[in-house]
Amino acid sequence: MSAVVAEHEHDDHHDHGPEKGFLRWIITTNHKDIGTLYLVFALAMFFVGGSMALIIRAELFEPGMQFVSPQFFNSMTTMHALVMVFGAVMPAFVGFANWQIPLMIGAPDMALPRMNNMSFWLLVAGILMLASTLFMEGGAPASGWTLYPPLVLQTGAALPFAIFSVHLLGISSIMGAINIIATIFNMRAPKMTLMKMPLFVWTWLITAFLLIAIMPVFAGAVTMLLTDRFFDTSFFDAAGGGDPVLYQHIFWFFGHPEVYVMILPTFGIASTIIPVFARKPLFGYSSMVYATAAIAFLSFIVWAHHMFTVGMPMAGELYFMYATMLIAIPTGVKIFNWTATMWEGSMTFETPMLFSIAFVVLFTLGGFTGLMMALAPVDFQYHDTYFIVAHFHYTLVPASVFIIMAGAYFWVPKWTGHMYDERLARFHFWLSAISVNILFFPQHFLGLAGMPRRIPDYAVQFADWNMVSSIGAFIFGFSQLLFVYIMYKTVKGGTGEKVSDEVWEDAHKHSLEWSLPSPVPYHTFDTPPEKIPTEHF
Amino acid sequence: MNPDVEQRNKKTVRALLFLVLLMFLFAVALIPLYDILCEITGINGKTRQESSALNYTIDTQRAISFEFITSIGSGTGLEFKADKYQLKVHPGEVISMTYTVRNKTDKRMLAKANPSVTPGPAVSYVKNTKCFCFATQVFEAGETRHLDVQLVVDPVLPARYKRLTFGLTYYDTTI
Repeated sequence: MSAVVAEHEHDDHHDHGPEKGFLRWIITTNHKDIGTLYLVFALAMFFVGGSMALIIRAELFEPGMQFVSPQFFNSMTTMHALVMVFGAVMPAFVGFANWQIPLMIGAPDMALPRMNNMSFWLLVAGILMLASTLFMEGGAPASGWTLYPPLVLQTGAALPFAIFSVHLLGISSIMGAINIIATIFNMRAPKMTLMKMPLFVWTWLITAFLLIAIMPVFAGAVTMLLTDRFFDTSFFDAAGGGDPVLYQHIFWFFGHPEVYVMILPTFGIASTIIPVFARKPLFGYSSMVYATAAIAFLSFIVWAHHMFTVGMPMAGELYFMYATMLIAIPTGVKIFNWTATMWEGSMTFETPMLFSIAFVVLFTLGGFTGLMMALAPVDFQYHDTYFIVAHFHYTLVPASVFIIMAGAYFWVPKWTGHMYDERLARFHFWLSAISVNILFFPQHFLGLAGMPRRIPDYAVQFADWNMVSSIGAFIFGFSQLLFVYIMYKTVKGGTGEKVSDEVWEDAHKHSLEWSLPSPVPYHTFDTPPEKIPTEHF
Repeated sequence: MNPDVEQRNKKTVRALLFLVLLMFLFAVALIPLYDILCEITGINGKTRQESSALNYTIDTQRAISFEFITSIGSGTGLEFKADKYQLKVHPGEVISMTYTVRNKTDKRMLAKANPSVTPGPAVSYVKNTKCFCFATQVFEAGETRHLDVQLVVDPVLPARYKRLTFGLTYYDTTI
């Protein structure tokens, strides 16, 4: 594109607000519109994935087979994971990135607005293709989200569709990641040096690099599954001299950084919210940045702790055990920094802060069980039991999902200019915080007692805790309808109270977006801001 | 957008796309790298065929339990058994075993057997001097065949290995 054309487009933007009518949402290249699309799509997928989880919990309410066939049950565990990871949690964070990164660094939009639109619609295409496998002969993939061969190769007609949907989702993520890196590198306001960026921007920068490094590897692995099934190769087929364990190595080389893709932006939003409500600068800003980078680096060299039971040599078990335990150090730095930020702060407990504090406590709990799983000798007992299910749900639901909720409550007044209903929101928080523990805490006991994951039936000794867990699941699931209601009401006018530009007391000292008018105009920072907040230091 | 930023964006995108390509190639390169790594460390327990007979001094001071297990890949219509399940052997001595393979189907079958040693790290001490491993064989419908394997355990085998298992798995490779 020539400079002249670029100038012309630039002028166009000044003349028009958003496109009128429905077409606005299809062809938009505005970072705020695309952010909204991502967030709404993520919310919809949260309910799709959640419904699948409720089917699982309904079947597990009592021992014996009640509602679904074992095959469909396993499809549900697989699809629940894929939809939640690729359709809900990741897109939600990309939505926040789209809305917030330009606002936080003083840029007019994302660096590549049209690619931004395309990466969103590829995501929709990928998820639709994945969902279509539910209606295919032989059913949706039922091998678990890890798609281990040889089991996954027994999938029916759905296999190539599942693999192509993974390709589409991968391309979408890579495009999103490239866009975010280009925006952060090239579009910052003049005084916004790297070490003055808000931590949410930092964590997303590192996350984007993780995505670029791992998505091609995952695409490569699933392509090999495809050729093994249809083109007689034997990458993972022992009959032809291949090795199924190799798939596990490649998968987890992708998979471990992938779980950090879902937690690093969580850290970023928590580090944004906690200082505002503690009315103090973030404690240890630069150590937060370095800790994030350290966690990202370590994520590439610990993958085989997911496969302690494949029969690795002792030296391998020891290496992966110690390397994994190292991760507790930078993560500990973060937990202590958040605690130190709150220490002697003038704290108030609005809903975003409540969710953030719950995150700090419950994520720490999930981290501790992670440390237990890192111990190679005892992992043999927990491996593939409900203990690991409890572990990663503690690091995903009361961590990533809670922080997504916190971020929504935190920024929605800024975005819409309307205040949400604080009473209802707190009710939503307490319902969620209590039920999430009823849901996942008993799964620790089940796992330690030996209940395997991904099995639709179980021994009667596990009956009581499964019932408790299922009750928690239904309370948690239905509580989230309250979130939808609160958000809908806020968008439609909220409590009627007009929010100030900075929304939260002294928020403008923490980050750029709070100095803009509420609601945020359709176009912002057409000229870069002169001054930037200095509250990190 | 200002043309200078546009230029820098293009450069960033090019660099990042190159990184994407590099990581994809890395995934493909993992296949041969893994094979090399396994050969060096014996991770996946595959034995290597020795080209010549080995002459070790037999270590009569100790005996190890040497076990034979047989299995077939899914859907492979063979009956496959070792004549004995277990032998007491001295490291360095030649271990011979006869296997019986029968094609249970009424069709001609191509099949091959892949070996593995457990525990994996001990694989470099188990030498096979004669094996039908990895070679594609033809079994006529209903045919029964007796096949021999000769193995030697290297006497430098560390003392912590008191029990070794030699497994063979037959796969139907008929196209």
